[in-house]
Amino acid sequence: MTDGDTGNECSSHACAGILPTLSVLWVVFVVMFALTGCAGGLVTTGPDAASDDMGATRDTGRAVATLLAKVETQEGQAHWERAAALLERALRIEPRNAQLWHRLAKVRLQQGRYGMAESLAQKSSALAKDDEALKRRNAELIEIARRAVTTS
Amino acid sequence: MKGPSYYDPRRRSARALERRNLVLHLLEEQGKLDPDVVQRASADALAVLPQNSTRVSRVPAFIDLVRRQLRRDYSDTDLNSEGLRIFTTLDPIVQRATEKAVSLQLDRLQREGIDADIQGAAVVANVNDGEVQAVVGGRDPRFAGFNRALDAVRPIGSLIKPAVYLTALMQPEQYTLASLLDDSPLDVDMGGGERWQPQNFDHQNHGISYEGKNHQVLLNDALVHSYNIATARLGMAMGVPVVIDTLRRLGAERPLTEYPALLLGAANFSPLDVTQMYHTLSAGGFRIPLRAIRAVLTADGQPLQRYPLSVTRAFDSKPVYLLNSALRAVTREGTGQSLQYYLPEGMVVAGKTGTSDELRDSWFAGFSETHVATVWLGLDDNRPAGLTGSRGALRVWGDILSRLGTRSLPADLPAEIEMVWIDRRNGLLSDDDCPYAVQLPFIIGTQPDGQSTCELDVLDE
Repeated sequence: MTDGDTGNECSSHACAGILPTLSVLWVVFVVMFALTGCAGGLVTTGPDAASDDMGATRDTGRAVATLLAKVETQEGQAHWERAAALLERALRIEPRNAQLWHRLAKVRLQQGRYGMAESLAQKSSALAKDDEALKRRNAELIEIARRAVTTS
Repeated sequence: MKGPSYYDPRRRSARALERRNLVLHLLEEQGKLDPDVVQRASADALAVLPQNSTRVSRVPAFIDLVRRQLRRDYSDTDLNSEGLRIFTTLDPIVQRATEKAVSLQLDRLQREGIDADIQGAAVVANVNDGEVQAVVGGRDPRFAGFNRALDAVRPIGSLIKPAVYLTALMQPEQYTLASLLDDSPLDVDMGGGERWQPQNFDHQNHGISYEGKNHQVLLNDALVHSYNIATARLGMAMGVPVVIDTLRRLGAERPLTEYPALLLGAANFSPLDVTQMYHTLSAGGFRIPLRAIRAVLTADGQPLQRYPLSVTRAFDSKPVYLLNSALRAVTREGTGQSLQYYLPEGMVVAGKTGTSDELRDSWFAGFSETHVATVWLGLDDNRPAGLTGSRGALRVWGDILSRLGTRSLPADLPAEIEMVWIDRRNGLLSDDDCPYAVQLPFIIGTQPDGQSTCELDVLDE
C-alpha cells in the first residue's frame, strides 16, 4: 500500500494479529516481544508509543510537521478526505494539540460538514488553554458553520 | 518503518536479525543502552511467534467487534471472500495487559473462595479518539465463544449514577456539588398497591440533621459514597425521562424502561455500552463513537472506506468537570478507594463501582487522561457471584490500568471553575481550617451565599 493509514492490518478473513510499528526502537521492541499474526503495512507512525507521551517532543513534533506538509499539499488539490486522514494521523501522535483539531475543523467546514466542523472547533477550544487567538479563530469558524446551516 | 517486507522476521529472519543487532549497536554507541545489555540482547533469538492458522484469531473478542462494525457496511460474502485488508485500532500491548489482568485477578478471586465459574469481560479505549484498544470477552482470552464484552447485557447498578448527578449539575442554578440531598428512608407509592423502598447498601441512612431535616448529605458525598436513597430522591425530583435523556446523550442506545428503579441501575448494558458512556465523560462531554476499524482497503491497497473520527458536543464541559471531580473523589475516598492498592502511587483516575441486586454483577468503569476502561465480573447463569463492584471488578480495573503506563488526570482548573471551601455538614461556605471543611469545585458564581460558623457543637452527627 501507499503511505496509507496507520493501524493494525489484517485480511478480512484472518484478522489474527498485528504488528504496530513506529520507529526503529519500536521495531526492536516488536521483534523482541513479537506478538502474533499478520504483518502490518507500511506505517510511519504507530499508535501508542507516541500518544502515551502526549507532551509534544522534538521527534513527535517533526512527525507532525511532516504530516502537516502533506496536509497542505492535499488541501491545495481540494482532496479534503485525504487531508482529514492525515490530520487524524497527526492527532494520534499529538492528541491534545488544539491547532490540529482546528485544522480538522477547517477541513470539515470545506466539505460542508458544518455540524462536525462546529464540534471539532469546540474540541479545539476546550484544549486551547491560554491560546486566545486560537479560541477566537474557533469562534469564527463556529459562527461561519452555523450561518451556513441556517442559510443552506 | 524501514522495509517491513524486506526485513520480515518470519520470511527474512537473517536480515531481520542483522538489522536488529545493528540497531542495538547504534543505541550502544549513542550511550542509550549498556554494553552488557546489548550483548545479551544480541545473542537472543528473534523469538517471533509462529504464524497463526488464518482462521484462528488470537484476539477473538476484538475481532468479533471488528466484524460487527464491518457488517454495517459489508455483506458476509464480501468479508469472507479473500481480499479486504482491514486496519483495526487494536493495541496489542493494551490487549495483552487487559487479558493478563482479567485472568490473574479471576484466578485470585477463585482462590479466595469465589465460585469457580466466575467470568469476566473488559473493554479499553483511547480517551482522545475513541479507538478501542482492547476487548476481553472472558476468562480465557483465546476462546472464541460467548463474547461477554459485547453480549453480556446486565444491570449496571450504580454505574448509572453519574447520569443522575450530571443531569442535576447541568442545572447550576439549582444544583452544585454542595447541594444538600435527603438520605432519610424513602417509600414511594408506585400505584396498584406496589411500593418502592430503596435501601442503601449498608442499610443505614447517612448524613446529619440540619434545620429540622434529618440525613442531609452533600450531593458530592452522595455520589462519592454511592448512597442509593439520596440518589433516588434526586433522580425523582428531576424526573426519570430527563435522566434517560442524559443517558442517550452519553451514548446509551439500548431500550430503557421508564421507572424509578432505573435511577439505581435497573438498566441493562454490555461492558462496551458502558465504555461508550464513560468515554463521553472522559472526553469532557464530547461524544465520539467508539471505533475498532480505521480503514478498509482492497487486496492491492486501494482505500475502500475510512472510518473517520467523529465528534459531537453532547454536554457543556463545566458540569462534566464537576461530575468528574466527584468521580475522582470516588477513587480517593469513596467506594473505589481501594484502587490505591492497585495503582502506582500518586496516579489520579476517576471511576465508579457498580453492583447489581444480590451481588450478581460486579462492575467498575472509569478513566485516566488517556484510557477509559470498563470491567464486568459475574456468572453466566446469573446466579449471585458474591462480589461487590469494589471487591471484584475494581481490582481487575486497577490491575489493567497499572499495566498501561497511563497518564494521571490533569490537576489544572478550567477557566470557568473555582475551588471553594465548604462545611461538609451544611453545604455552606467554610474556612479551610474548619473541622468538616472540604474543598469543592464550582462553576464561578454558583457557590453558596451562607457562611458556616464552623462550631463543632452546632450540629450533631
